[in-house]
Amino acid sequence: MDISHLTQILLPAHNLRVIYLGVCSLGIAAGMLGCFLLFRKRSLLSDTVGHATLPGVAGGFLLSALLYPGEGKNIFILMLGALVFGWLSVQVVQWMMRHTRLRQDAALAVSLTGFYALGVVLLSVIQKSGLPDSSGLEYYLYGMVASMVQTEAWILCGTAVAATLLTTLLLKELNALCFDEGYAQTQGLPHRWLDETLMTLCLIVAIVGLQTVGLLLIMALFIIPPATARLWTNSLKKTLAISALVGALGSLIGALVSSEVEHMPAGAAIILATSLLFFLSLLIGRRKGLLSRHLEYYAIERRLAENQYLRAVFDGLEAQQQVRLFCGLKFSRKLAMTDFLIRDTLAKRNWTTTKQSAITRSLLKQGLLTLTGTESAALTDKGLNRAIETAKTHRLTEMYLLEHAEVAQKNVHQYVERIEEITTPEIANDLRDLFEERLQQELIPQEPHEVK
Amino acid sequence: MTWELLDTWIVATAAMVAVACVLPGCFLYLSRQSMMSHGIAHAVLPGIVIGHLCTGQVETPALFIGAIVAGVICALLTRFLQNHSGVEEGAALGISFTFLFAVGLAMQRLLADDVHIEPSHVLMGNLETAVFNILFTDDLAPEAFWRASVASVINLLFIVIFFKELTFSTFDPNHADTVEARPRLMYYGLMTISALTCVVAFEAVGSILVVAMMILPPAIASFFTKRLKPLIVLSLAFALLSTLIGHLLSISLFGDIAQLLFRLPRSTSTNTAGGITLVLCAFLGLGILWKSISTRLQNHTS
Repeated sequence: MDISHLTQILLPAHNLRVIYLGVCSLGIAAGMLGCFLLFRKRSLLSDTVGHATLPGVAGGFLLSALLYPGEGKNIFILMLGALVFGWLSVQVVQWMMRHTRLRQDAALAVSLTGFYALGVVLLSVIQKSGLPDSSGLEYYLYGMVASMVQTEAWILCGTAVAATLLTTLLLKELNALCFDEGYAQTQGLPHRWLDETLMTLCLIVAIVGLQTVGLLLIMALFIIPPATARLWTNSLKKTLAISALVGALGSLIGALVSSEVEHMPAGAAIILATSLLFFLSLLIGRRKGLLSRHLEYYAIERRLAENQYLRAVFDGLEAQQQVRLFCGLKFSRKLAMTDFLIRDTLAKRNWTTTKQSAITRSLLKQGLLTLTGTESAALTDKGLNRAIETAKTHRLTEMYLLEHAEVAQKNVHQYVERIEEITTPEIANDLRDLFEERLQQELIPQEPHEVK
Repeated sequence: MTWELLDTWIVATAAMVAVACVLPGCFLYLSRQSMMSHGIAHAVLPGIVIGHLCTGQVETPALFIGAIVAGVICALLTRFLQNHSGVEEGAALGISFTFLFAVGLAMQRLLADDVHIEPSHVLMGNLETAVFNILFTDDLAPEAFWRASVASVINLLFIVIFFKELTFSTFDPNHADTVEARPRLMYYGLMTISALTCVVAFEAVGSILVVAMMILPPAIASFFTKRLKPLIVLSLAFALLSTLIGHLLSISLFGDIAQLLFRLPRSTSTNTAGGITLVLCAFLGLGILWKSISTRLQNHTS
């Protein structure tokens, strides 16, 4: 690809610029409105609406051939048809869910296939009637970016602006509607009206975008960007912003690819680009991404293992010297100087040698341990403090479980390991207050159960 | 309207497809996974295209294997996204099947852009062309008919053999787990036969109307009965009845209506698969009406 080609892509001619603007607006509008569909657990409704526009498109084509014979397809009649049938399909779904025994999934499937079948019948009429200019109808199925005319691009822009304005102005109301419908009703919000407005906006965006993305895949623009945003944040405002961004970026990349690669259907290219962003976010997303969750899990594992290590060292020292720690700091020098054999200390933990050496190395790096020989090590002052803290927390928690949660002696060890992750030093201090009388002089209580 | 040999085969093939679809469809409907059939019907496309690319032919087992694998991948991906991306089931399904469908569509257009798997054929289906070759060959029956029959037999066998397990896992997956009825395995088994059915059915009725064949008959039957076995039998009856009526209307009434409505030059026959679905929708309307009348009568007498 030479430079002039690149500039051609980056600085397109005016009509192309308008198209890209329109595609971006489509992504933004669909991304923002899709968030509310996702929150209301109605994502698949957009699927039904998309498919249900087929009879509108086909019927509109036949109607325009009837009204204006010989002038080819009238795009506004087609869109009006699509709008009518899209709206009808939503009404049918809602009516069925309210008044019949059909559940949401079945109502969606029934409405989708019913309207689509009507469309198929009308299409077969078109095919056999021999009306001219019926070839362009295929764009409505698979999408075609280049077929976008300026008017459509401006309509898309307008809807994007309207969607942004509406969501900003009605953020609080929509929030209540999505997350607590009952509350919204008690607050006297015009909840039916809000719902209808939201659905109407979705419908308009879907129908204007129909020719660009195609009626089979338009719904993905309402589903994938919000789902991507959910992987990054919990806040509603940020979700909306990220979703709009993902929608715009995916649509733009898809439109570029489909105009560069021959035969590439625009709908498929846009959805693939958006899916790519989704799967990337699934990997590295901050909130629920697989990678961040693994790292978090790994960090917790590591900290627990370190604590267990230090506790084992502490137990060993305590047993060896037969000391009762009345005041940890007094003995700290002496204890800290005593070295221990790594292998013996960790004998009770069924750790692999790799894990042993990994944790040892991590502790050495943090300056909690010092090596005194090839097989032995000693705690530093800092290490001792942390070991004392850990042992204290651990034993207090065990005492609590034994006396207040009525956990049996033999089980207490596995219980405490399960909640170890959440027992912080602050909780340990609270627990200490609980057992204050008994622990008057001891800084660290004894191991409350027998050590095997 | 004239009834020819071709019409007989169209109805016979449609009936076989209907039987194949209704059997897994009942369980999908009852376990509230109706849209799953829609997802799988879309998701098989990349499998079909890859199968086609590998062998260069249209009618090979590779196509079926590819489609089944793609269908099961769709189900697996949906489960995975549901568990790991924090979105609800519907959205997870929407993501996974649109992604797979877009992959299939792009591959088809870029790599296999020939007449053999025209996507509009996949989406619309055409019973008329599916059975057309019977006129020129000495075969006993059209190939589409045989394939649908085989799929019906496989589905029937699966459901008869695992009837108890399927029932358990459809109505109470947690209980099924405790009595070792393998709800997971049943779920994926159901997805496998659904994918198989989708491939068999797509050339006849199109991948979107497969959903109609799967979900509408049990939905209609659920207005008349609450028991599983009668539901399956009733669904089959409705499906078979609607294939006959649907085709009859398609070659007569629908074309006339279209001619009147849009002032077309002449009356034509319309797409049979679409006609069958419209008849099924009419049955559904009757079902709803029947239910509301019978409840009103009951309230009246009591």
